Amino acid sequence: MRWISKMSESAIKYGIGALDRRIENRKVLIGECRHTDEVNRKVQLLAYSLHPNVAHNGTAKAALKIGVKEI
Amino acid sequence: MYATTYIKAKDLADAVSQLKSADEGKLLAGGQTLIPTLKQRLTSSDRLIDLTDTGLSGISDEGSSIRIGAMTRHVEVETSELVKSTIPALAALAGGIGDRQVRNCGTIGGSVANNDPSACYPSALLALGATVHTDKRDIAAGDYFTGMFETALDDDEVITAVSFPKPEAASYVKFPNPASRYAMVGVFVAKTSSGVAVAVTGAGQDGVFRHGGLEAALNSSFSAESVDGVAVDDSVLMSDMHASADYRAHLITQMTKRAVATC
Amino acid sequence: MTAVKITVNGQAFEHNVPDNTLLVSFIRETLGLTGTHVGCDTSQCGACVVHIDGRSVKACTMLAAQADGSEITTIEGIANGDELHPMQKAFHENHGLQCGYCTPGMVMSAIELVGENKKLTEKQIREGLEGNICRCTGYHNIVKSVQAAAHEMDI
Repeated sequence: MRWISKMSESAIKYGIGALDRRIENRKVLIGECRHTDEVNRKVQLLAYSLHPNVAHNGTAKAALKIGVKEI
Repeated sequence: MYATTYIKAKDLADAVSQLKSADEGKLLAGGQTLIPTLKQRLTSSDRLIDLTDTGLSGISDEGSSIRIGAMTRHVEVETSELVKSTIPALAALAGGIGDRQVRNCGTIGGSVANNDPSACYPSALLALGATVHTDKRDIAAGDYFTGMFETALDDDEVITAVSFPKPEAASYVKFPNPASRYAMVGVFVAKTSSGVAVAVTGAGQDGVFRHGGLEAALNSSFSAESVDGVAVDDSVLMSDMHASADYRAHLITQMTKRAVATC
Repeated sequence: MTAVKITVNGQAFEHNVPDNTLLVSFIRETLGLTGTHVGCDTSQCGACVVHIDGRSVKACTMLAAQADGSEITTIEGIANGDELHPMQKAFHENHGLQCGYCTPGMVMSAIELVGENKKLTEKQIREGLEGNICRCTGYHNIVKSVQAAAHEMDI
């Protein structure tokens, strides 16, 4: 996301700790912002990162069983 | 969501015949509980029968009572001049269900048919002595709610409306779960010619119930203070991650006092 | 399959969709209008709020088939060409968003709210947006944005 910052201006105007005035990205407001879920190419590589919630609980082994390739 | 067949019933008779001929048919009213349950695959149905076009919506004055069609949405009850002027507690109850989007879709018939133990409407039906009208018969609220998510409805029975007798005074106060806005405990107090009724939702292991002890105390003296000495048995109350039975018992007393104070 | 005839942002569409298609999937995947977001699986977050025949509804809690014959407005349909809707403008100017994921739902809910009452108190705004969850802002600037928009739309 791109922020249009007027930090320097406001810092000069109001000093340290002054509220920074920012203006939001227009795309986000009109529904044109694209998130990763919205990128769906025909030839697209998907990578998933699997994390066990407990150490050594066998998630990696289970993932191999369902066809996930180890890299 | 599992595969299903969607059918928009043309009228009540069509809905009933669709329901009868399906294996696991479900009536789709506002869908605010059914659709989330379906999409999480907690339930499935081979036929969803949408009641939108069955003409079961609307609120009418019947003299000593008001009649609310089963497909009437919470927002309509919340904003109805008739409900606000005759049973303001009911309008306020409807206005406190879920969030705006839920109230824009959810219906009284759906809520009453589902009988969620934490839903708000069942307490109003029980305290006000409402009547549930179906395509087959009229059921008194006292006979209608038979347990958690259990009602007196037959498998192929459709709620058409609910009639609420106009009370002398009534108030509903709930302690909402901050995430879901369902009642952790909700108490509906109604004063009618036959005495005071106190119905509790969100707390009972068997769903909504009336509390005889609180009613007796309020019948002898209708004041918040008279509730103080009344014992609330927590052995019949729910205990879950949100609140212990003991805490719910405490909330029942407090919500009753608040309801009486605002009655 | 059910034939769904629908008007979205003034444009008529007709598609055959499986009966278990959610309205939000229909809007995002069939129509390609990805401004309407899905932020949860439990109908709680409100990122998918759209207007159906003028009332705000969570598009994830309705089947596309149920919306047959209705008129829908999404976040893509409220600006007037290059000119932002007053609510979008207020969010733009009051820093009413950070990551922007909840924003489409917030804006759509807030438009209905302000449409009914332009003299909203802070409490009414907070209550009115109960169905929309934001993880970034702490809601403070969202409330400020809605107040600003209500003022703007009242004039």
